Amino acid sequence: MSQLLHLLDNIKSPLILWSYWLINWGKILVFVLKIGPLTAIKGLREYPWLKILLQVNHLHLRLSKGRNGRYLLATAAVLSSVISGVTEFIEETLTSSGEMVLHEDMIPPEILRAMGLKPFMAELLGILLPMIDSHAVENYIDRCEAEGIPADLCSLPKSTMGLILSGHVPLVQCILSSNLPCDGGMASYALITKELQKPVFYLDIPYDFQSGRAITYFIAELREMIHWLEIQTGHKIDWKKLRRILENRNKMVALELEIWEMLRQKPAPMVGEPIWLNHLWSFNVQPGNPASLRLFRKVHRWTYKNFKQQKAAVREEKYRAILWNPPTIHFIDLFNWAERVYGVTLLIDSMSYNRLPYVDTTSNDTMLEGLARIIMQGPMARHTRGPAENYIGDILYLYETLQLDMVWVAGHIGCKSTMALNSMLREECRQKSIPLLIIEYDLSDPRIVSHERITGQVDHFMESVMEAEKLS
Amino acid sequence: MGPSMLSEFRTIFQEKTDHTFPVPLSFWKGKGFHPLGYMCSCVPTALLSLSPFFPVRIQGSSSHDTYLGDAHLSHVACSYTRALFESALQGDWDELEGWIFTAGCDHLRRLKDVLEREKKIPFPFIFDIPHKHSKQAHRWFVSEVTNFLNALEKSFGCVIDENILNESIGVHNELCTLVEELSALRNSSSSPISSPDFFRLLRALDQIPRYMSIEILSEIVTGQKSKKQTEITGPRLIVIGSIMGDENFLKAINEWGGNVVAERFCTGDYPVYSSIELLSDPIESVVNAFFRQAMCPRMMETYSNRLSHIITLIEAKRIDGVVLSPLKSCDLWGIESALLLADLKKHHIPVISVGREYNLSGERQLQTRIEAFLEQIGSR
Repeated sequence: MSQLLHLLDNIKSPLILWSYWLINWGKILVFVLKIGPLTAIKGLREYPWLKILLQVNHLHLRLSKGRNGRYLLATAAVLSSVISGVTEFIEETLTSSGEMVLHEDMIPPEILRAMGLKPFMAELLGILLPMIDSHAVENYIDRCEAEGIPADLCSLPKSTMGLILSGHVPLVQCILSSNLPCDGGMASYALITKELQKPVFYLDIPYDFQSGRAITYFIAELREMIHWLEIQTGHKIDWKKLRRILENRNKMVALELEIWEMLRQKPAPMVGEPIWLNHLWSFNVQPGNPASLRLFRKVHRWTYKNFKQQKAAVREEKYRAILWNPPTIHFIDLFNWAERVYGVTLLIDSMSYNRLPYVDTTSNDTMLEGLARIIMQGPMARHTRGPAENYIGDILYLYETLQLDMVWVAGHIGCKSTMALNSMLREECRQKSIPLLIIEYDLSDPRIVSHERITGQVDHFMESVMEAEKLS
Repeated sequence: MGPSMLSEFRTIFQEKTDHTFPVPLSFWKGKGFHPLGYMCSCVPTALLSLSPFFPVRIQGSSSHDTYLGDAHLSHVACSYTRALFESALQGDWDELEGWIFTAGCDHLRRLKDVLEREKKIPFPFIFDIPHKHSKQAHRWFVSEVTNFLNALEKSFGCVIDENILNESIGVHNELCTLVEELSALRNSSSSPISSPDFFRLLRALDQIPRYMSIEILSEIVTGQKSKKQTEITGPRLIVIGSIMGDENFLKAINEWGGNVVAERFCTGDYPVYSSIELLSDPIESVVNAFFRQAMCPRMMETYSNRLSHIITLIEAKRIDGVVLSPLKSCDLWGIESALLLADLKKHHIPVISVGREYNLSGERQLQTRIEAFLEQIGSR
């Protein structure tokens, strides 16, 4: 019976793969026709990164490699949703005539959307482009370093500053930034503001953001930001719209929490991109968007079916892992590779495991409080600001809860804060006999550590610590 | 040139205490003082000067080898925090009765985490300093200061009231006035005060109780005023950047033909030694002064203020060239230096940016760059 199911999977998988591939190209084609070829050509001239973004469908083939069944369906659906989101992002950028608001990735766009504003997340391209093409932001990094920015700075703010310095961003009316997630990210906005010559509002997040005093402080910061935005843009906040966004967001959270709960089952019913990329995109770029909610419903449904049938997402799940720190964005195929070569499944990552779940939507005040908590505990913010317990505590909790076999840390050489925490993490893991792999690499610059050297580190760890044999 | 100010400091210190400087912190503890260590200029040191406390700037190991720091904080942590960690683990600061940290930057925050794990730290307190100045940031910092004073009272069993606070601010201001007077003497083109000498004197002052600093410094200032002026050649330079471990960087620039006449880094004359305007509420006075004086690039909104301040300094001190010197791995100063480099060039001010470590290293390479820069100034 199981052989028959395997056979069926093997027949269905290429169908799923190629039908999504066609759907995705269809979406891109419709988008080009919608904006018109002239706008598209103009856009390609103004924003050279568009050429790379339009190749986003390559990700679909790369990340679906070796997958089948509902896992493949979920992976394809997530990628397809990202492609839709990318086309929307490009459309907003190309049709903008200076009304966009440039915001740092740590400030989620719910408030901007509720004000009827078009957000332009400055770091989004620095994250997305290397996922599609590993070398995509090298020029921007070089451009930034040519301005005297130190090479040892994190490559994400470097690529973002490089984009700005190259003039490859749309005209914006104002800028939102904060002191998150690190000194480099925060300080980069001094250059960005100077370059764009636009008014800026900085949100200040206290060090010990878990305290009640800090929450009160930060709610007041958000109020001030809204007031400032209303003056700068002439747009008023629509609280009803914000409530709708947050209610949808809450529904996404409910589904996500159930998915996470199901991950405890061994073997896991869903892993990889349907978990982490889905969260990264849906919660950070399109929170509360009906399309994001639909996607979560689909992923939840497939996960639940696998869960009920005790079916593994990955046929040969041999090792369960988490990834801490931002994913290896210039080598986003790492876990697909690890899955196929060693049967390592990625259950969750630190970029997903952060935000507090629900926003109380009963009043404007409670909504602001919920958003304040979300921002303060946002991706990277929760783990890299504040005391070390924030970073290590969650890892140890997930290790127990998800019955992990190992912990992987993407040891991004530009992240001074987490690099300094790794000695403490090593010690904790040693004491608790938790196998720990710290991959030394650079977040978005493959010239620092190549893909081969990354897989070499994994091979070394798997062979010497896990005593694992390759599956194929 | 006569004896250095540090030699004078040592002589006066010996006269007053019958001991040779430096003395261990236990010497002061024996006299009833409580030394409180700090490592970031954002710490309001006036609050650490409340009798019987006194502020001690914790300095990093002077060695280039920071094995423990490298292992625990990683090689990408700045050399300042690695040197501090090394020094702390070697027991150099075991006599301190309190460690006052700040969430000043990523490196200092992690230093606290790692240090507390490796070592028992007495009275660890972290100042959560806002990154901007607004009404509520002001209120936040007021409550931080209040929390600090409450913690101090609780841990040391002392009572801190308005009078004591005002007195402490008074002592702080007295010292700052003397430092400012000494600093002003450097404006003259024939000032006998060299930058390395000034640097070493400030470092020495950072290790003793305030009352003693004032006594010694007033004698030094009087002495310097009557000193013979000496014509010093070489382009007048200002050094701007991250914290510096020793005077060797400044000394080397002078030896290579420059003349450093001003500094703008944490262990230079700015910003720790800035007077506090006394208001009716002493805590308000301290908080106001902080926001007025904070010139660290960690403050998000004030780059243009910092640039204006530097340009004012350049004009007031008739500076011929600027040496920007961010610490390697310091993201804050790394980006700030790139911005300053571009902006100072726009103002036609000769400027160079040289990354460096906490303790001077790589002199040859540095020499080539500085000499080329001095030639460039000379040919203008």
